Amino acid sequence: MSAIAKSIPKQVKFSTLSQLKQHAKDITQPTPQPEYKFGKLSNDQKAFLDRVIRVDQAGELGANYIYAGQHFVLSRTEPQLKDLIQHMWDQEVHHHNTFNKLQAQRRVRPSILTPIWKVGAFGLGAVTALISKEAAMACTVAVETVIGGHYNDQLRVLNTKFNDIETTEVLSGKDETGSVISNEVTELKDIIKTFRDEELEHLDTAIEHDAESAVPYWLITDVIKLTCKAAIFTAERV
Amino acid sequence: MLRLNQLYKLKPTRITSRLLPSLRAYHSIQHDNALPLNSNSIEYKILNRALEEYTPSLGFTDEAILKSTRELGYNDSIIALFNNGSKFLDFYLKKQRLELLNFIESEEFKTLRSETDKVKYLVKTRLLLNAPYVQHLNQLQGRLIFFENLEDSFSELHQLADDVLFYSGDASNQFDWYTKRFEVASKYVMLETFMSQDKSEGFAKTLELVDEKFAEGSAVEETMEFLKFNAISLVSLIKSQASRG
Ligand SMILES: [Fe+2]
Ligand SMILES: [Fe+2]
Repeated sequence: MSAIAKSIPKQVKFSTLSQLKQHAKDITQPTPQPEYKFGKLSNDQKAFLDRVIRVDQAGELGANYIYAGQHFVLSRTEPQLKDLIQHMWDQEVHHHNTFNKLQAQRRVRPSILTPIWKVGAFGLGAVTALISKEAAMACTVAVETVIGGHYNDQLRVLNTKFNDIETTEVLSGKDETGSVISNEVTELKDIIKTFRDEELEHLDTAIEHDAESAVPYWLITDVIKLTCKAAIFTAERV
Repeated sequence: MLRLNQLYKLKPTRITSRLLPSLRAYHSIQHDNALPLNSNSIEYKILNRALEEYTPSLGFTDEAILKSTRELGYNDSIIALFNNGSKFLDFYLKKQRLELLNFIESEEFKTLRSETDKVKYLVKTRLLLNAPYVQHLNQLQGRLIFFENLEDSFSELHQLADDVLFYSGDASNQFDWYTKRFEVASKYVMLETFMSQDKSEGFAKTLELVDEKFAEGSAVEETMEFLKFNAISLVSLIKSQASRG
């Protein structure tokens, strides 16, 4: 790789065309870097990635089913919200599919509780939507707050704990440990960042749609936040 | 190998609490993935020679290891490394499982299209790798269910099922991930037991039975057993993980 190409920060996008290409490519396949040789991940790093993929897959499955539950109810009671919910739901489906691919490709065991996540999430979406449209939005606020924070926690670890993997430039044999990171790690970070931003958009959307006027807002959001945290703890492990 | 329903009678907490977490964690695309055996180690050299030269006649015995140790010029005391031969069994299972890596590169495997055909091919291949040792299979299976070997052999069995399915292109994402692995593992155990008694030319009967057992669209017969198994493993898994934090 030429020095100029190297000096360009990794995530710069030059045009809409390159963005489109980026989209056409399967984002779960790391862009090859044949010019570098990457050493083993440590057991801790592997265990971390294993947990990340399992819990994110389960989380996106849950999100998917929450929106399915909301859509099921709100498309009948509040038809003006149908398209809005559908848009967020579509994004969740994309998130979930992405983690499904990563889980199969990286040989990660999915959470054994998937049947429970599905029922629970659909129920949560449907029940809050039955209470009121505001309650449904409050549920979205709670869920997206927890997921957004959770993604940020993961990004922090990916940024700080993956800089010590032995890396060498194949031709020159130059040691690049810490200065060149595998796309496997970098692009996983990109995926999580993109998804986090979309979750925060969902959060904003929910607030714009009067989540805070749900009665009692604090009770709904706090209970759901706690539930989500317990689910994350469990899905990382089981 | 071992009969799964025998496992229920043995302390389930110890076996199952380690079962799920002990499965392979995270397969890297760009980073080196460590193989479970190091072919440069002394241990590997001794056991490999014992397996190839002496096990067909002597079985999985200390005598086979000892002969190989002497032939390679090591001191007899090194045999203490092998933990009463249980390392030998584990070595055998791992080595034969890793052999599948060569077979997925074969022309024959590459012509296969459906997941079922690939699974059948790999199961047959793995069974046939037992051929030189077939008169010792009973001994092998008998020793694998000894308590001290149980965790390792159980985990190896699941690794085998996981490898077979991964190489065959399995992309299950939910509960079916577990049912499929359980199906392959339990059928494999059954087939291996059958093979140990099979006197037909080239194990033709065993291979036929593979086709029958993995017939397209065959349902998981052991669903009930599987659910029972999961109920036990789930409770102990949650316990062990919750205490770990
Ligand atoms: Fe999402
Ligand atoms: Fe979301």
